[in-house]
Amino acid sequence: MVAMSGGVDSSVAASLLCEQGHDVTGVTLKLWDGPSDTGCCSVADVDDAQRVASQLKIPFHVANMSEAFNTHVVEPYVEAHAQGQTPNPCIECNRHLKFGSLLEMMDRLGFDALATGHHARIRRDGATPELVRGVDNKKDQSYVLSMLNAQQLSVLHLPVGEMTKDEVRQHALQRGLRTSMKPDSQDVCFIQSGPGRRGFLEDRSQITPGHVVDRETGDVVGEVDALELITLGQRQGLGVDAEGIKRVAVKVDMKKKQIMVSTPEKSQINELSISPDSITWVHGVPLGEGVQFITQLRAHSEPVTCRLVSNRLIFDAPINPVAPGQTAAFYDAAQPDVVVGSAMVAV
Amino acid sequence: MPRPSSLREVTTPIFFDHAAGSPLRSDVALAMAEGLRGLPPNPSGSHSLARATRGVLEDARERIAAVLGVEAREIVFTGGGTESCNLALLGVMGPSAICISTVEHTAVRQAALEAASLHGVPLVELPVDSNGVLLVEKALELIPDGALVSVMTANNETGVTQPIAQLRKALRHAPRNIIMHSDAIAAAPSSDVKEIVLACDLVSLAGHKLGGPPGTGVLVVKEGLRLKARNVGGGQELDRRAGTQDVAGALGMAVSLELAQRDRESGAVDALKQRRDQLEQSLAGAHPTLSVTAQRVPRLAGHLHLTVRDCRSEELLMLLDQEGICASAGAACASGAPQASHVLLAMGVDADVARGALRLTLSTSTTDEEVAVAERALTQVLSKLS
Repeated sequence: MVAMSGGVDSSVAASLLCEQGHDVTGVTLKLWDGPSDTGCCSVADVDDAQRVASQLKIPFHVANMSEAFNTHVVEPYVEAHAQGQTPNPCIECNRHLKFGSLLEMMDRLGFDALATGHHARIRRDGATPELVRGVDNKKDQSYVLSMLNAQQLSVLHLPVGEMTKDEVRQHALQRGLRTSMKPDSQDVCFIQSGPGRRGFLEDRSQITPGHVVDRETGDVVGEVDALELITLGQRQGLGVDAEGIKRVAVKVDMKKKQIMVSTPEKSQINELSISPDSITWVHGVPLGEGVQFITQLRAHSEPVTCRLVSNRLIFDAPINPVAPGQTAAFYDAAQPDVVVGSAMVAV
Repeated sequence: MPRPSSLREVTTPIFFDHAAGSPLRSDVALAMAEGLRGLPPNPSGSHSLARATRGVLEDARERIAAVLGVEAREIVFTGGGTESCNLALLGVMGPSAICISTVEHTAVRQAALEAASLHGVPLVELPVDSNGVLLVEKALELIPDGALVSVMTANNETGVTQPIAQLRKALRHAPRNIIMHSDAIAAAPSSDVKEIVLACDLVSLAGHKLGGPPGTGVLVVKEGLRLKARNVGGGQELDRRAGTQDVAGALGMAVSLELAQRDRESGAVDALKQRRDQLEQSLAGAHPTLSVTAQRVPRLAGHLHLTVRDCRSEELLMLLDQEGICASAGAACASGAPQASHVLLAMGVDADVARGALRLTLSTSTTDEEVAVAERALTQVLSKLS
């Protein structure tokens, strides 16, 4: 079973598996049932996936997972913003839908394996499979798959992880697949570019104005009209200090209706709390306390070295602030391409 | 990654989705190919060849009128069933309210919403019972004088037929000045809709459900009822639907309606009903998780609507597809994903149960062997999912 989003990567994943002689069925998940930039229920994407499946001469189905998507992704997204957090809905979708409900469905229907178009690799030469960064460093998506465990990886195939994006497009182009030149999706699939994140949240929850407070002096130095839209580490829209340097958001306090700001230097942090419930280990075995490993705190940020001590990540060098709700993907210190686990940044 | 099913060797899929549209019947295809041979497509013109094309169109109109028991001028050709319903709901001028049953097809529901907004009048929903049958007494209470009422002849998902004649009879007294439309699109392939046409002011039909060409439709508009065209332009179809008529399509539609009539008269529809009943009985008896929808009320001969407890429609459909059975969930969103049907919800079916809906629709072309294969396939699929 290949999860086909209607994009070029999953189209090529399906195509590669067909060419390798596998018996392939394409499935598109209908996740969001509201308006989107590609039509209601993303019909245009479904059409593209269906067209590619027909070009590949494979069966194709659309599975409706919109209720589960609402429950596990959209509602928590709105709720997290209301609490001043910055969630990553793609990771929650992967956790609950693509590698939750869809894996269960795949198993129930008797398929042997699930494939997706993610740019990451699964190494199967050891006793248990390992998740490894994709060949194309710029497109690597191991970060959004970091919550997967070895059991999930054992039935998962990521055929395009071995290719660069250019090679993927070239493959699609050579076979005349409709999606060959389709731009990559950039944003959250359920948020339209017009109203944006703000419009989406305004329709579903309260938007709270607040003061901007200098953490060092306690002075109110400005106002923002939506605390929910502030991401820790953000520098945009918070004004400049006396020296003309952009202020950095270091804390969102929904109770006091304020955000604290500081200078880029003083805003840096040396440690970060993670929620203990959210920690996953690929092989089910935690790294020992104090063992050095690498963590990546955003989809394409620079990895940093750290240690885990009492549910806190202790960094070897200071880093910029990270918003609660974000995911920390853990990589092996000795093999920096190999994912070992993940956790969510706590409040 | 070998395909899990042992039925990879299935080469010819078996079609149990006739309610979505029946494959073009060969007599229809032949008539369409031959009917306009050497003629220009446009029937409007003042030369001999346009007149010949016009002759084909009017011949088709008369043949359809004859099947339906109306005058030829009461037949308006449209571009399909949705357009027929849209023209009926939106073309009637000055209604006091738009009243539709809660189980109407989206083509009627959406057109009704728009009509209510266009005229600034209320949209009234007429409830159904747990079998999906209109509650006539309740409807009479809800329908105001001067309303446009639209109740389908039979439901496209469940096949349940509505008491149209009874409703019309009741409406002759009060409320008054009612204009009545019926969407007979699902019903026409297996039932005689003459009675419906007699009872209503407007009746919608679509070619592709009849094994006729897709993109062809008819709206029967009773003599004396004025409609405001939705398509404007050259004033074709007596100013009720502008645009060059699809003459080959009209001819195909006429032939498909005649074939449906012949199927009823020859006993083919009775045989179809027997096959449906046989499939229904064998499935209902063998699988405790499976329920037949509206089993005890009159339904279309070819419809078998089921719900399977603790199952999702898409999973049933995926496995049936692997077994070579083409079926449907009955209700899908624009992306094609099955969704809990508004029809089942209106009948009071629990949303979880509604998510396990499966619609098998047969036609007079369905054979005993195909029924047997479907029965085996469904048994296999249900045992896999249980």
